[in-house]
Order: sequence, then C-alpha cells, then structure tokens
Amino acid sequence: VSTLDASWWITAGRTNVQEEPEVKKEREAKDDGRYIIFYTFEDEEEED
Amino acid sequence: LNQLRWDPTLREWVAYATHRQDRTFLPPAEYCPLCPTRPGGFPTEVPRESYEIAVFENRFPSFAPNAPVPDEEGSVLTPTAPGRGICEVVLYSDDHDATLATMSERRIRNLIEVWADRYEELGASEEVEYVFIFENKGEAIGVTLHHPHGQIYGYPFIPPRPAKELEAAREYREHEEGRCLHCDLLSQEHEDARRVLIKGEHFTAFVPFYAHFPFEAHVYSRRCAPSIADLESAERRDLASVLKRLLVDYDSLFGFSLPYMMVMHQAPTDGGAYDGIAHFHIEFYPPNRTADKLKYLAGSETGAGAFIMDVLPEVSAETLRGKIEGS
Repeated sequence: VSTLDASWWITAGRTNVQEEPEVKKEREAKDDGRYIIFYTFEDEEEED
Repeated sequence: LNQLRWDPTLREWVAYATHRQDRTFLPPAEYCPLCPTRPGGFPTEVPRESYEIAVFENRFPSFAPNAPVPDEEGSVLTPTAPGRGICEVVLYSDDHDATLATMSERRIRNLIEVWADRYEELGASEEVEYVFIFENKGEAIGVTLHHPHGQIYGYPFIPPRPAKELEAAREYREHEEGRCLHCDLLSQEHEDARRVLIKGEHFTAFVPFYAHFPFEAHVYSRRCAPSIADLESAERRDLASVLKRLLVDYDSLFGFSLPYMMVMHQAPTDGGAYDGIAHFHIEFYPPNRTADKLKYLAGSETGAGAFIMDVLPEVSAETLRGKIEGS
C-alpha cells in the first residue's frame, strides 16, 4: 500500500472554527489501485 | 460492465452493473471484508489493524470513473451511455457489531464531517452531478454485509426522485413569491405538531403528512441549507443528537435493531443554482409495519407508482413518540 498524498488536516471554513473536530485525512492506494481514505478525529479519545 | 440505458417511457436512465452479481453475500463475521485486517488474519478491504472512519472505492461499483463507451449502441429512441460515476463505501466503525444507533453522538458528529467532506470532494468531480449518501440496514432491506457501513453514489445525472422533488420546489418557489417548499412544509409540521417526533435546536424529526412507509421519518434542517456541507458547526452537532435519538427510538419500537433505508436529499453538483430550492434533509424508510410484517413494494407501488398505506402518519408518529417519551 502506498501513500498517495501526505496526511493533511481538514481546516474548517465555517464560523465556529473552535468547535470543529480536528480530523486527519489519509488517502492511500489499495493493491488493486482503488483508494481508501482514513479519517481520524482528535476528539475520539474523549468518547462520551 | 457499467452501462446506462435510457427508458423513454419513464424518461429515466437504468444503470447496468453486471459484475455486482458476484459481490460478497452475507459472509460469516470472521470473514467480514469490512473489518480491519488483523495480524495473521485474512486481508480485508481495510489494510490496517484498526480505524475510526474509513471510505473506499466500492469493489463492485454501480458507476465507475473509467466506464467505457458501451458496445451496445442502442438507438435514437433508446440510447446508451457509459455508467461513469463514483461509488464509495463508508465504514462507520471498526466494531463489527455496532450500528449507528449504538454509536456515540460524537462518532455520529464525526461521521457528518466525513459525509460533508465526501459531498464536496465527489461533487467537485466533473462526471458527478448528484452525490447521494445513503445506508441500507438489515437483511430485510437486502444488505449483503452486516458491518456498520453506508454508501455514496456519485451519479452522472440527477436521479429521478430528487429531480422530481427539486422540480416541485422550483415551481413552488416561482409561484409562491420565492418561498422554499421544504421550509413551508416544516412550518406546517411544527404548527400541527401531531407528527413531530424530535425538535432539536436546528433540526426536526417528523413523520411526514404524506409518509410512504409506516414508520417513515424525515429529519429537516430548520435553516434552508442546500447541502450537508453548508451546515454550521452547531447544526452538525444538533443533527448528530437528533439522529442518535431517532435511531435509538427506532430500535426500541419493536425491541430489535430496526432495518431501514436512510437517504440524504440535497443540492445537485451539476453547477446549477439551488439556493432556496434544495433544502438538506434526511429520509428514513423502515420496511416494518409490525414486528414481523413488512411493507412490500408490490403491484400498486411498483407497477403504478402509487403507494397504499395501512397506517396513518399521525398514528405511527404517536407510537414512535411514545417510545421517545418513554426513553
């Protein structure tokens, strides 16, 4: 599996920026050429 | 093979994707292709030991980005076209036994972020005119994999049902001095109140006056936001809260995890103007009319397009509201 592009962080374009969960988006290529994207959220460790 | 054929009698495209006949069908949990790939285990669709939310291109897509021009040329009356588009699978969790109803509000909130991101990314693709986000849940709906997941179809056209809805909203706007059809429907539901299930700060869940399924529910944004990507942070948080409550109540309706189809209607991504016409909302269609009886789309529904209902929306809303108030 190769990484197609570097991990990047979605930044909020809306007004309440401080309330947006920060998310890491990683896009990778699968063995057959299809893509898979992993979304990891900073706030998930504080599960309610 | 991804091919479109035009039905001139209904004026709509039919998509053919014959490779889907070979897709994985209800594998045992230990061979679930949507679970993470465990050390020493068989390789699944997800080449990681764990994940939060993941999205990948469907292995058996109904539409594909590089679909070739069909060998079957059709005719002037019945043309064909390549079935070009994008089909994605959205994995809600790496927990095989979870459902949207059992997930935390925070996870649902994060899923909304992912849906919004996919709407924007797929919608930016030239071949995609409509981003359709949906979930089929339960064997009664025909799911082939139990792992909690939804799907996204990036259609190369605006599909018939949203197109019909948008046309109605456009005509209403023209004849009613610029008013939004969905805003007015929501106001009517608020005023009547008999079919309202949950009233959040920014979203309302209700059984529509004209429900087509016994326990159908719609979740409307109070503000006239054209798409999920237009929702503000507080709106996304409230949507997660309203969805969580509705799904928990659905599961308490008959005492089992309720099957449903969940679909999102929003602005097409064909470059048209949809402000005041497209109004983001989610529709749920559970097939159950009782715990052990299903509503089938039979002769009248399928052949005539006319739904026949044996439960009034006010009655099903009262039943659902009883569950909500008791929960």
